[in-house]
Amino acid sequence: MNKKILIVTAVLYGLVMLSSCKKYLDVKPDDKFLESQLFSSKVGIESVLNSIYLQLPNSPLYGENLSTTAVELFAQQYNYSASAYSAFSYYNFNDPSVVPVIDTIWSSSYNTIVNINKLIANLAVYPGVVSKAESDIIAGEAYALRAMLHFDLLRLYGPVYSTHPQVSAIPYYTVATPDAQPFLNAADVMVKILADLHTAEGLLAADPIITLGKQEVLQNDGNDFLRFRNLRMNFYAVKALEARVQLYAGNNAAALAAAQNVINSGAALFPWSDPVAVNAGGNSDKVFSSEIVFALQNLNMYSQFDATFVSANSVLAPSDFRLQETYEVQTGEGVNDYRYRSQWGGVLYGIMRQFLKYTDVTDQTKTFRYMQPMLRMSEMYYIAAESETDPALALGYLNTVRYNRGLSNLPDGTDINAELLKEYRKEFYGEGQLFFYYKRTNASMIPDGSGMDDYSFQYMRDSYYVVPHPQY
Amino acid sequence: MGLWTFFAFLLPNRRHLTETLLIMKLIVILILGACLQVSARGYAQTVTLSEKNASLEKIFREVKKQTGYDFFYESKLLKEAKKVDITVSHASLEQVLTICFRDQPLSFSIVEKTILVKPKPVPEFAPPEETAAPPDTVRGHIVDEKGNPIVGATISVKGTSKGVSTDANGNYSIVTRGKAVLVISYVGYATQEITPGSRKMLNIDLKLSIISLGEVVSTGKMERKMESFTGAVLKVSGDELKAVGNENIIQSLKTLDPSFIVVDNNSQGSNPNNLPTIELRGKTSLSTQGVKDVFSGDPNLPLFVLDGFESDLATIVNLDMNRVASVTVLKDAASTAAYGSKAANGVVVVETKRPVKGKLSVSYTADFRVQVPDMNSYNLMNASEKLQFEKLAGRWHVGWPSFDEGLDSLYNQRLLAVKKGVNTKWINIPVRTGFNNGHSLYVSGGSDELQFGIGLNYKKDDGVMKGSDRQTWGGTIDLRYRYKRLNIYNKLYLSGYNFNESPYGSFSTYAQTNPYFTPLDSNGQVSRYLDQSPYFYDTIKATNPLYNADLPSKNYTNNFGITNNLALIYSVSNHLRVEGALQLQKDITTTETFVSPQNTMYDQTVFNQKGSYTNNRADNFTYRTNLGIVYGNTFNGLHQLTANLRGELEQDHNTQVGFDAVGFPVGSNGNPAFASGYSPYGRPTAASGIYRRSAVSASANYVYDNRYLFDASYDLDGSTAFGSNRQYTTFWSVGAGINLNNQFHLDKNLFSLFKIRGNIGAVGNQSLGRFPNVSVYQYNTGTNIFGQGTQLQSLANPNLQWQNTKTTSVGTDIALWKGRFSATLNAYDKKTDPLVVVVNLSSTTGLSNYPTNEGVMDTRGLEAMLRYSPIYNVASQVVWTIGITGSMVKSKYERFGPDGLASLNKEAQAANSLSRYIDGNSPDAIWAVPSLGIDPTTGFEVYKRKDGQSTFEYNVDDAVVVGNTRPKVEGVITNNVNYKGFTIGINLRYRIGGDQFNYALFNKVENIGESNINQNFDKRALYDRWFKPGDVAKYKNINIGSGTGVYDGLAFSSSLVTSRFVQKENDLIGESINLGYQFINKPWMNGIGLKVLSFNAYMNDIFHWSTIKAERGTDYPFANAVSFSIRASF
Repeated sequence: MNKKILIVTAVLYGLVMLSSCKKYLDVKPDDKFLESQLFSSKVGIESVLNSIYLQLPNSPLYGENLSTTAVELFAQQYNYSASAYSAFSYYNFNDPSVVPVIDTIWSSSYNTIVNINKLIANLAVYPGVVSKAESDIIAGEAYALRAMLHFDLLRLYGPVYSTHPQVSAIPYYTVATPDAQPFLNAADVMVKILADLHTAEGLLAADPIITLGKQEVLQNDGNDFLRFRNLRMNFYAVKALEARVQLYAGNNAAALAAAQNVINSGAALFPWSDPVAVNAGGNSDKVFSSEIVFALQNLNMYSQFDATFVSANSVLAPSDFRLQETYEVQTGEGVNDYRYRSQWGGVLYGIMRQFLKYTDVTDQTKTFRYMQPMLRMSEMYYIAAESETDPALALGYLNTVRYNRGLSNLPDGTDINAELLKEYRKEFYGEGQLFFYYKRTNASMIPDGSGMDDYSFQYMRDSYYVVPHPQY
Repeated sequence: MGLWTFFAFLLPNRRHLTETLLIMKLIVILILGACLQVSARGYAQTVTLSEKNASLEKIFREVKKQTGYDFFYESKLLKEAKKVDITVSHASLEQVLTICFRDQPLSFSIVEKTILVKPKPVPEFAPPEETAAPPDTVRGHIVDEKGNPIVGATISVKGTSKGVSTDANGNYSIVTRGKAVLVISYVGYATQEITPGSRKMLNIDLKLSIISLGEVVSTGKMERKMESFTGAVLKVSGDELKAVGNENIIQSLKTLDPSFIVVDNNSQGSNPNNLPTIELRGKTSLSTQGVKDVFSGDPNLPLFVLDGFESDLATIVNLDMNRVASVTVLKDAASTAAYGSKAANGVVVVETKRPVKGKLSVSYTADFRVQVPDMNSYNLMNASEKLQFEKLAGRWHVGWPSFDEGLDSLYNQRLLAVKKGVNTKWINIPVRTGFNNGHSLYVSGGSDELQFGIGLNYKKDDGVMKGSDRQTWGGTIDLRYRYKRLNIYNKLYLSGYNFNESPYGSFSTYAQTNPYFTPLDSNGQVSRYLDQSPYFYDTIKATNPLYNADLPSKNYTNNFGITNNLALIYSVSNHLRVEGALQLQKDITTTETFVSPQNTMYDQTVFNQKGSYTNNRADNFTYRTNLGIVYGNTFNGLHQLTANLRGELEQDHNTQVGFDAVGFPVGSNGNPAFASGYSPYGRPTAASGIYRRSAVSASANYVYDNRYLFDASYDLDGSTAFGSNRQYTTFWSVGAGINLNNQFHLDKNLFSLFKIRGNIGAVGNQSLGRFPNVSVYQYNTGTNIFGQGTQLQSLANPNLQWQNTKTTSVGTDIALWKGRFSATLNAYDKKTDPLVVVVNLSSTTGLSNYPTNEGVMDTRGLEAMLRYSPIYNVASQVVWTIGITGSMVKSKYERFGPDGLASLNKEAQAANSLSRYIDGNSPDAIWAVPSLGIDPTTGFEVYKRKDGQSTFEYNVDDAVVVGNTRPKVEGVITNNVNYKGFTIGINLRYRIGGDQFNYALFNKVENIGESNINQNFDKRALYDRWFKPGDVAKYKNINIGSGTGVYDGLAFSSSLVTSRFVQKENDLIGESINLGYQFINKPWMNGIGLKVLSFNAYMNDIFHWSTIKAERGTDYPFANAVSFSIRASF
């Protein structure tokens, strides 16, 4: 009898052991991470921030749509006879080729914003995992990136700000939540963008770029995460973004102050490109890397670019006439322009030149490889020139850039805004800024990329400038 | 009482169940308490009694209760007994009995654990042999046909009032005297009478009686007597399955159980490599893509259990039918609650045959099957019709003279070819008659202690598409060893399959190819292109599907699996058994595909990326183990209690790795060594997941006097699928029933069974993806100078609740006239609340595929199975039985709210889908814009707007429910004749009252435009479309011209989903017609040692009559099959 009781007890004990072990069910996935795992290590937190920098240069965002394709097509930078893209050039936003693109810019931006919001929130939930100094830098970059994404959503999907600041634009997310946030009007969005930039500026006050510079060499000492500051949303990038935002908001004085801040304190960090480097043949620094305040490192850059501009069935390029007109080749200016000389290839099919800005170089050790420009010094000079009330000073800013592009100085009395338009067209090919320049200035007619003569224009209206956001 | 307290405790009370560990401890304490009491009672050696003027029977009951000793007597003896006064405390049994029998005309003797009561010897009058015969004890073991012990069988001495019943291991011992005859009976089995004579050991095999209603149901976890079970189950034997068809279990089971529906797969037809979609009692989950992950399956699939362990659909489909002993379909909460978290869709329990002791027995089965493609549903144009259609459609007229000239000459070329007799029946090219054969061998034998079985099987199915085949094989070694109280059972199972998909690709390509083209060019070569128009504006270029089919290609899957099941059963006492089992399983599946670089799909591809090879390997290692206690006892002959407590542990580790390569030299056979590289920017795919589960389940069945039945079960299930904060979930069921025939002592000749039963319970579903309740991150696909990035993969929904399906089921089982008529009726309601839905949230949230709880799905249904035998002569083996089964299922969504699933509805609208998620509507509803037909004046379709107005403008928001794909009633009509070994069975499936969206009309009568005019279409496109004003036509304007392109005429607008394409579907299907003959023990067979020889012939799906004319089997044709099966046992 005792033996039987023993057996039954043993079995019951076995049953309990079998079934109640909580630890047994605590399985950690090996192909993904739980939030608590990730935020309990420095490497984990850094990788979350880095994932933002990896998402931004993907093709739905700054890798293509917001740099080389969609927004450039809207700005009539290319010959729309390339049929795959013609609907973009016609602002036919309901076309099946356009809808997925404007949807993906929208949803990818907000998806990146969720990641940013999660990061910001979790830095507070898991304190002390990284040092206070590093935490501030990570948070500062995150706030500024959140502002940048919302700003570009506002510029693309929002109203023409200069005329309709009170029109409903986009929702502004400061928390990661499944509950949809309300659409705010453009002016309110602008307030939130500037607030985030202000927060970022404060958090980045001790950015190593201020004391140690860009640090474009890896040391493998465990601190590399805070090097290559020009590939990160650094302190000056925040100021430069602020200048861009303030100008868009029409706050010229504030824009000027921010631009001057970057020009003055960042001059040594972001020097003008050496013409020798720019014209170095197979190793030409076609993106003018030294002047870039903030770039994304896009490892898919050359393949993405190749697919659109080199081996595609319909290669994107402006008509040769339009290109020559843009760079003022007829007047003799263009042939000396470093940008024209380095960024454009020979005539293709007898009608157009190939865009070379993002083609690879021979020397694979060059640090400027894979740099996708987001903010550059020249824009600070343009902003300063546009918002400076003293015409002489304004012309000075403009001529500084022209000098560094191999162009002659413009005389006093030049129409600054007309020249600035020319500069934006030359400087930002493939960088996605021109459409927003047109939208900011509410230009009523813009030169079209397929134009064959001086009378070829695209007439603009609000419905072309305001890209409809997805309805769900 | 202890056990009852324990089960009462287990009844659901959620508040009590939150603290898992506490409960576990309490359970242990209670069970231990219960068992201790049981043991104490069973083995007490002393008696304490205080009775005044008590009947002897009462004393006997009391003594039995205290000692466990049985009394054995003839009841008339006690009539003469005197009342007894007795007060004893801790007296021995003998003392007590001596007191009781002091003044009685009776005497007693104790034999083993039985007290024999007999009249006091009166030598003068008693016949000498009566007294001469001393009491004997006969022991033995009672088993069923499969060799499983029968628990609770009754053994009585003929002519006496009482008997004994077998214990949990089928053992009994009974006291007899002289020429006593033992009567052995058990519900559902033929009663046997045996005279033990001088034998002391009597092992008995009970045979199933012809009435098969009363049987033992195996729920896979424990066996229960069907008669006392309150759940809705259907048990069919392997032979019954084999009588319907010899393809696989699933195909036969659907004929036998009306609630087990194999959903027609119109795309894959009779592809042997396609796994069926199965529904048991309708749906319980939404089956949108989002609810699944890489390792999860169909959320509406029932759970399969093979030999006590969870299995998967592929294994069940591949299982050798000849090895199947029985299949039990568990449908409701009482029968499935022990499977708790996986039971929402019901459970199918498959048991394979076990080795039988005795001399070596060999059984061999050969199956042959011939399949021919069923093309009857195709109604394609011939060459001249097609050309005529093109002419009418406006293909050969542009309106620009320079183009029309060229078109004219091309048209004339085609016309000339047609006149010459070119009319290629493309659909006949990729198909063939498929010959299948299967062989199965099982050898078994052994002694009482050790039995073994060795099985081998092989089967080759050639599909009706050329080059599509499937080979399955398996080997099994069964060992069964019995040592005293310990039973060891081990089953080793090796299996595998290889299959090839047809190099001919999709059948639809052939159905689409124009009949005025010939597959061979003028040189007799298979041309690359059928048609290369010389005109640049005629951009259509038709490739020759045969060209690609002839190129080397590969689409091959190989599987190898090994499974070992070890079970140990130890009998602690006659009433208590301990069971433990362990399963180890390893499974490897590799899929390789290769597409030749010459394939026309690479025409536009750069030279170094032509051709592709992919390799995907999935590995799976599983262990499952369980340990349990089974208790069974009968108290006072009135109270039967069986109870079961079980703990389980399971781990399932899946990994999947794949890569692809591109750029092959022309003529390559697909060896990846010849690839020029991986696909550009491609990377290997990998996934890995560990799933663990631990559970405790308990169930009990109590029967009072074979009249009142009660069932209760409880399952505490912990799983990694539930997320880390909510690892445990509870499931439960309670059921009750009444055997009216026993309650009201109904005439046994009329009512053999009349049971009413019902139960209610909650079960879950784990076939959904795993949605953790903490946010999960994954690596970004790229890197940069700062290293890797980890990106939010899914934002946790901390409030997510698991799907819980509350099941209510009531039913009745009736058998009349000794089984001549039988009926089973069931009604049920399955309410899944809440549902797990994966939605795309507002795009601004940045979250997609967010798991959330929305709404409720309520499925209600009725099932009926009726059987009657107009001729019923069992003794002379002449039986004619007709039967009908039917099921009705209705599901509807509730509580989504006005915009609960707006995002899914938006997606459905955008995709032109026929389904919507809207309250009060069925998941099977067809949503489309109501059509008012074709306007006779213009040939355009007229739609009905929401406000009732007619309009030419299609607006997807006007869609309403225009039909329901689920038939109102579906079932099988059977007709079986058994005449002295000859059997004929006819099983016809009927489906009444469903609707179908006819894709043949949608795609091949309408929706013909510039882009597909070069394909072949349904004849109705030519004959039934509107042609000129005044035509009253069902289908719109035949002219497909577009305003902006090169074709003139009316603007082509594609037809959209409207009620015009929805048709009523009533079907009659020749599901199985079979014929069999069995030779048993014929004189000529003895010479060659043959015991049984049986022949069967079948026709499966031999016809399909439907009220709608739609193409069936679009990517792979359906097949009509004729098969034969021969079985020989030596």
